[in-house]
Amino acid sequence: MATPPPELLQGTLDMLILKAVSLAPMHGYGILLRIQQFSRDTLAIQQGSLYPAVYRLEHQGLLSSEWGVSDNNRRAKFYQLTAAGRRRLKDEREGWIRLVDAIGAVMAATPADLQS
Amino acid sequence: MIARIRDTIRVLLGRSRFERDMDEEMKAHIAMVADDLAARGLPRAEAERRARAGFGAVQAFKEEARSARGVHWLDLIQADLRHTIRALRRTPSYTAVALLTLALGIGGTTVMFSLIDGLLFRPLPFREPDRLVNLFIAARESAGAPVEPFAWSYPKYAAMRELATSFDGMAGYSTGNANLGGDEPERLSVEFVSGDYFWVLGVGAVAGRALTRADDSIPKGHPVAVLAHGLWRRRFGSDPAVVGRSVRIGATSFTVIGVAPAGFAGLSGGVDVFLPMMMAPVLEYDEILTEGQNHWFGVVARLNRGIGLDRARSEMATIGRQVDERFPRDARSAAWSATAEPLADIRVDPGVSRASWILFGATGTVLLIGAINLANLLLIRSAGRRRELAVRSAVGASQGALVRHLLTEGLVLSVIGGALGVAVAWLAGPLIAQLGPSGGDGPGGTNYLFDATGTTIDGRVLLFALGTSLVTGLGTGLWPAWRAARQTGTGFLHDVRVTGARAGRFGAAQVLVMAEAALAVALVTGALLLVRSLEKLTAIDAGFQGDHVVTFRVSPGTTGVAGEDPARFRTLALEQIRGIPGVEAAGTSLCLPLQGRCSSSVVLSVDDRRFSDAESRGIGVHAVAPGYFAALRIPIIAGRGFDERDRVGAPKGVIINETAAKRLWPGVNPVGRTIRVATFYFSRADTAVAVIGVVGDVRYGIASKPADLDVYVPALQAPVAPATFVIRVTGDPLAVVEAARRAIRVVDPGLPIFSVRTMDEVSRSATARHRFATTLLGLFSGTALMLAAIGVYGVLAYSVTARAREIGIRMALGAEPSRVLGLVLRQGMLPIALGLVVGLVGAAVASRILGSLLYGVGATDPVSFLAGAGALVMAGLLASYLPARRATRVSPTQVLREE
Repeated sequence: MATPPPELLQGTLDMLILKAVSLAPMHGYGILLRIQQFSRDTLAIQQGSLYPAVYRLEHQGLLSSEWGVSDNNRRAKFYQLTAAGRRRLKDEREGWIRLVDAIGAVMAATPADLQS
Repeated sequence: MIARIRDTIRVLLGRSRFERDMDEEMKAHIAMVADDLAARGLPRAEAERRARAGFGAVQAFKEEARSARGVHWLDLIQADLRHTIRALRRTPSYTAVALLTLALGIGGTTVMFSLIDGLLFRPLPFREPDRLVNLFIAARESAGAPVEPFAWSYPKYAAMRELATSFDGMAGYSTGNANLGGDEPERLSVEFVSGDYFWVLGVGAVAGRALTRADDSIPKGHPVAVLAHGLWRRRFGSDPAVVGRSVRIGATSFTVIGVAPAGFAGLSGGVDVFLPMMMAPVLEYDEILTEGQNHWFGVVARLNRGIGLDRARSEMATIGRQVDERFPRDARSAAWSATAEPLADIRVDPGVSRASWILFGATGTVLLIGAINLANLLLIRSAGRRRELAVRSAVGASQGALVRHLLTEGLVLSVIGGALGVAVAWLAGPLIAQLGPSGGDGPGGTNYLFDATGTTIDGRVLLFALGTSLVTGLGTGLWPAWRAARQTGTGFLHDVRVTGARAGRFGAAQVLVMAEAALAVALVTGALLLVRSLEKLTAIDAGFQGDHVVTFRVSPGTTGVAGEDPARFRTLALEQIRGIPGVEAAGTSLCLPLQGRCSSSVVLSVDDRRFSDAESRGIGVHAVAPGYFAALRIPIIAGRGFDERDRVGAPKGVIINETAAKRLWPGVNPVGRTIRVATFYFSRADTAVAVIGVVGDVRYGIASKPADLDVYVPALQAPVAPATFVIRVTGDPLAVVEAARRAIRVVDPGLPIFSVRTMDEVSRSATARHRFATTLLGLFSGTALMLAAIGVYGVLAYSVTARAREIGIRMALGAEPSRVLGLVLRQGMLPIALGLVVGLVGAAVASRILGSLLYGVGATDPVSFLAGAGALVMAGLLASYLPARRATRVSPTQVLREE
């Protein structure tokens, strides 16, 4: 039996969206596919829940959008990072790496570490 | 703050685009997912189904997205509004009934509010009206009598003004009448005012200037006039150049110095022109300013800043006694004092304000019934839409959204209904003002200030209408919303059909119908009580026959035939009038029946028995010319009526009414007995005159009060100039008016006639207040009954639809149509019957507040109660019958096939 996909930490969806969009302008479905692809199908996001997050980011001025045409010729709305979005992504990534390091260090601790 | 407003506006403007975009984007997403799935070999339909399922609850995400976007409540409101308006347009008959109901309810309440606001709440249109008081002499007519407010005489006023310290200023005012000269002589209502009058009230002039103290210092010395706005417009075409011109008032030429603002017709009300009090001797009589005991004008005063009413009252009490000391009276039974009352307290006749409150209550009840109807309709609708609501709930609409939606519907309906209601009020207001009683005599030489024609729809009234609408909307929306919220639990989708048992039981809707029925029957019963009172009032035999009688007044000054020799004027004028074809009889009096007594003369004794003050004040004295009794068909019971013999120089004689005959000479024929009457125009206190006849009783006061003692003196021997002509004709009484006007002109070319009315109109005006209250309450209760019927109909019609399956099954099992009819009728009439009982009990308790509006019927008059109950039952049966008949036409096969 496969392990269930890990729960997303609160707030990480925003960061993942920013990251996905940072590579190229992208529509909502594309964002989901990209996250799925990068996570090697580990992260599955409820499709509809993407949109409230996207609109929130747009409302905060981190994303901008315009209507365009998708690969399979459907009208779709494409999102890209704004300057503020780029700064936010950088902050989030640094914060995330520090967090992962810290948590990793905690989880990697051995009895030997108790001595020091 | 500004940034927030800007943001809000931006969101408002961008909102519909956002909704469109979001919708399109989500659809595109689902389509792309479906494309991919189809590319992997799934059939298109299956691919689309899976794509939708994978996306999740669209509504929930949309809502979350809206709130993610900020200022979301505005979006929500707009979405709700759009949804509501769509829903309302889909059901036009429901919407029309709801709006009509609300328009009537809110419109009626708004009209009555504007009336009451004008009567009681709106600040008087004067500068700092809270500081204005009326000053009265506080006196007892005799020892032991209650203290009553009295007007002032000029010398007493002058003495009081010297002593008083509580006031910034004070001014006297009194009504009079005078004829305006010119090509078209016109009767004017004059207000004699002190120089400070305009200053004390804080009223200016729209052209020229107001009167000042300098215009009112020397008796007969200031022939200046301020025109009221109405006269200025009517007679002078609103020409500002009228200032400086002279106008002839009475026999004197007055210079117009200014024009008073619109909406100010004097404290006496209905004033045409303001004249300095110092000019009263010219238009009235020489001694008017010097008589110590002639109390003829009211006094308005402005309290000093910081001086309270109590302080002013105690000062007036002291000063009043000091002033009384200085002016000897005939009978010094108790010391007279003085007092102060806020001007606002005399703005309206207490009887009128009571009637208005009752009517306001009635419109409130109509609105309540309307609101109940609306709540019921919403309830039914929300029950009928339970499947829709359940589906909305299942696709992620939150419970809050459903509640909000129902509330929005209530609010939208009531705000539109309120707007229609304002239109109703705007149309009905003038009609009601026409019906409404105006000013009238107030206490102690004042007039009630209120004039119903002043009611308007202004900001305050609009605010009231808006507030009423919102409260109604919330009130009607909340309950169905709350119920809907309770019912959208789990398992709801499984059982969305309203089963027969559920729709048929005595539920919330029936309770509401019962409440409506109770309120409606209480109102109808109250209205019937008033109708029966009015009937009895109208049927009263006031002692005269008024059909085919026309009356008008003349009021000569001191010039012309009429002014110089009133007796000769009467004789000549009556001769002329009797010569008009169709005139049967003509005479004159001073005052007419049912208008209140107009004589202040005093009867001093009969034979040798002296009267006390109180006894003699109760006796009315009327100067009448020959023909008066014949014109009104007042029967002569003993002796004779007046005729040409009773002229100047002949022995004086009087006629008394039946009540006077019985009370003054019990068991004795009074003809030939003597009486002493003190009237300055007829006889002196020391002259005894003979009783020459007895006539039937006539009610001179209010119709419901039996006649008091009346003494008639011959007008041809009583040289008083004003007169009311009373003319009986064979045909249409108004047809002779022009001929009569010419007849008067022949005798005295400069004399206008005024107050032309048929005697029937005079009688009707005596019951004006009752008629006003009765008409309006009748209207309101009729509306209430209609709304209650609509309520019953609505509930039953829905119930029949909802129970169609059950009814069909019953009929399939052999139930007769008559049984089905009875079933539905019973269901409709049960809440009506319960409401009837509650309503009649309520009416029995509440009808007491009608108080003096009732005449000749008790507050629990069985006829009114039975008729009220009958009206409700009829309305209920009619409203139940239509749905019941529809129930009998349910087709069993069709219903069962739908299973």
